[in-house]
Amino acid sequence: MAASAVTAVRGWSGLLLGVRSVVLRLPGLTQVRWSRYGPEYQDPQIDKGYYRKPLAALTEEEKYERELRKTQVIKAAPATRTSSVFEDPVISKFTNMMMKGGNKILARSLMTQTLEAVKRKQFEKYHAASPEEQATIERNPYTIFHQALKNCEPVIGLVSILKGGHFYQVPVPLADQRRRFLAMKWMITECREKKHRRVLMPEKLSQELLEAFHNRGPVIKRKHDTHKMAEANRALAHYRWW
Amino acid sequence: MAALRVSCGAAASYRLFLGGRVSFARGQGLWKAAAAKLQRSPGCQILRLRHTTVVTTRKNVAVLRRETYTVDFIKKQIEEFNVGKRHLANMMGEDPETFTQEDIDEQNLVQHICCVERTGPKRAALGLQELPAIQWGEDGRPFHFLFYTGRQSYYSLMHEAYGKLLDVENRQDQLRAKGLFSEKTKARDPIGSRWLIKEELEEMLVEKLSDQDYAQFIRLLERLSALPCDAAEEEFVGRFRRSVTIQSKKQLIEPLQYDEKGNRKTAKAKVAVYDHGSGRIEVNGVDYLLYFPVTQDRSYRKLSVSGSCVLKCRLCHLCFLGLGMGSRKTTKTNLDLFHSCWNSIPVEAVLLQIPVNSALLSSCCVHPHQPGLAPLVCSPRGGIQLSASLEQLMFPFHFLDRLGEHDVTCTVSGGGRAAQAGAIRLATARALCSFVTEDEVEWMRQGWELLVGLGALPLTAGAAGPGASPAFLRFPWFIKASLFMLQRDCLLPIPVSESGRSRARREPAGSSPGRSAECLGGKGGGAVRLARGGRAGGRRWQGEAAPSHLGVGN
Repeated sequence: MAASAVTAVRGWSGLLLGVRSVVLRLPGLTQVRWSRYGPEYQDPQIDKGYYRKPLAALTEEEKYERELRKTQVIKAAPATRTSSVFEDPVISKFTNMMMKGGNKILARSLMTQTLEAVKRKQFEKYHAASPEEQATIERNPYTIFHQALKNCEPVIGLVSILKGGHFYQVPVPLADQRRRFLAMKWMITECREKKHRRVLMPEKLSQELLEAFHNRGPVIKRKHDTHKMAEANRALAHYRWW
Repeated sequence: MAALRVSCGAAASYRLFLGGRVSFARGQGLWKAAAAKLQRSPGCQILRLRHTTVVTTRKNVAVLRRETYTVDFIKKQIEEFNVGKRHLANMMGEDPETFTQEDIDEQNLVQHICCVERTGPKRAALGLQELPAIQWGEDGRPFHFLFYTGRQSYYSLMHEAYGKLLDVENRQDQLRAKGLFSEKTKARDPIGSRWLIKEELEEMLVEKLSDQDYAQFIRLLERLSALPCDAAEEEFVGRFRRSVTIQSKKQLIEPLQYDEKGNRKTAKAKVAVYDHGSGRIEVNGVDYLLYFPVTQDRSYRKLSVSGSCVLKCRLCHLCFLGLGMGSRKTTKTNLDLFHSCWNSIPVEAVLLQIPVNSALLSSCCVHPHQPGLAPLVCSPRGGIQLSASLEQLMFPFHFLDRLGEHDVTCTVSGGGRAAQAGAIRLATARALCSFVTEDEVEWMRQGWELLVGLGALPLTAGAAGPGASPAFLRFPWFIKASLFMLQRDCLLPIPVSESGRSRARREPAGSSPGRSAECLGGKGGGAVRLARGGRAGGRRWQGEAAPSHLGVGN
């Protein structure tokens, strides 16, 4: 009986979790993730340049801010953040989103291989091109990555709103954070689902990134589809109440 | 009630009623109701059963409460207490004059006064919050004009603050009328003080406040403090400010002690940092490059780096000068596909000096190198790829620009790879505090918390701690509702994990076929699917037999 009660509880928690996710999908409702830190804790400032600025170069505002920070409690920097020059927050976020089951090593290696593949492809093109074209070819994989993701960001999004028993797709403005997330999400989903099983992820991802950099390819198409849907449903915009 | 209707004036009929209806009389209630009916029916003279109900006069509870804690009552109780105390002293053979509270407590006797004072030192000693004193006089009229708002202290405070604001504005208007007004911007408050927090204000007012009230009050005070104020107003505002400690002072920096401890999740690290070192880091007796394995990729090549010679990477055929010189000379001897990658390496990367183990040297270039310097693990793609753990170890040194200057010896246990790296990072940061100026300590603190590891944070009020289910799922109404749903869907007695298989198995057994079929029907199946819906690729529910059985069961 105890065992069955335990399994009942476990199954019950699954049910409850399912119910909770239904609640969360309502538009406008955001769940605040629980954090061990109280609200008075501030985010850490890791940038070395911020601290090395000489005192004379600071404006009044900055001086005040520095003084204020001295009295505040600060959160610990997460393990992924360092003051290293190689760190890129966008790359870190993308790596985390690619990660499955906590396998950060694999995700990170995939990321680096992707960047390498991008670079190699660009170099091949560079060496095969004439001098006039060489000036236009971008070889830094980081700029390509950033630009590609920026090209994939949608401007307006769609949200399911329940009205009168039906769910309508209502166009809704998106926050910056949400846009970046959608771009990355679409990119990853696209590469996971639409590749042949023998094609490796870095290969596919580099291909998609290069295409997105040049504003073509399936992810850009998806962005345009979203925009078209939003345009088509613009009559429903009044269903939004926030 | 037709059976109980009795015709007037017929005693026989009543007896008939009594006789015949006794069997019907189910309990006292009906009997009494019958009797009442008898009594109420007009012109009925046969029998009068008098209902005598006990009328309990409900005492006016509010009045009672009011009378409890008046000052006289308290005085009386205190006198009684003192008398009782003397009796107690007498009984225990002590001197009644010097019988103190401690002696009473020592006797472990229950005090025979159960009323604790509403205010006073005794209450504070017991750690109880002060209750508001009695706010009305003997005639029942309240003392304060804002009593009937319910929160007289809060509103009177707001009233006072706003009055002061109006005074200041009046003064400003007068000055402006006279032409003596000068637009002085007030100097911003120094950081040394902060507003009262809500709890402190509640304590001060002895009243409960809501968040909005508190916010409004603080806004009013801020508005008041922004205007040029008199001394009286400054003093009024000053009552609501508390001084704030400089956080970095909280950490005691022992003078030049090198050992430090750090922890992260369940990993504990003890680190000793030595000055005038060469950047060697040893973890648990093993070089840290071996302890935290660098991500080995087939396209990685190791390059040995020395202080003075020109080096050439085998893969990239690139040459560059040694370290610490701030300049880099790249001679591209071979226009290989990969060589241009080095253009994007910033100089700082080259400056990383990592102590080397001889085992690693074998795969490195043939150039002469100085012992104690490291293979610089590089990738031809551009950028040095250290594993995340190694970056964590370097973080304190890199932040303070002391990359090759310290030797570190650490022992670490518990946790996983990243947790151990985090623990060592914390410990090295703390240890470096002794070597570094106060400013830099402050920078480190602001960059990433030094004082407290993550595990040592106290739980905020209402938090359940790590591993607990979210608050939403613990609310009693939610738990009740889900229990109800589960019972209704026959899910609770049957473990959900076995639901698929056990139901299919239970069917042939034929025990309570009706109920099980009902359970397996749409609702039960739907509910189970809801439970399984949250898990990607969950157990396939073997309920295909259900619809057919539903037909059978019904």
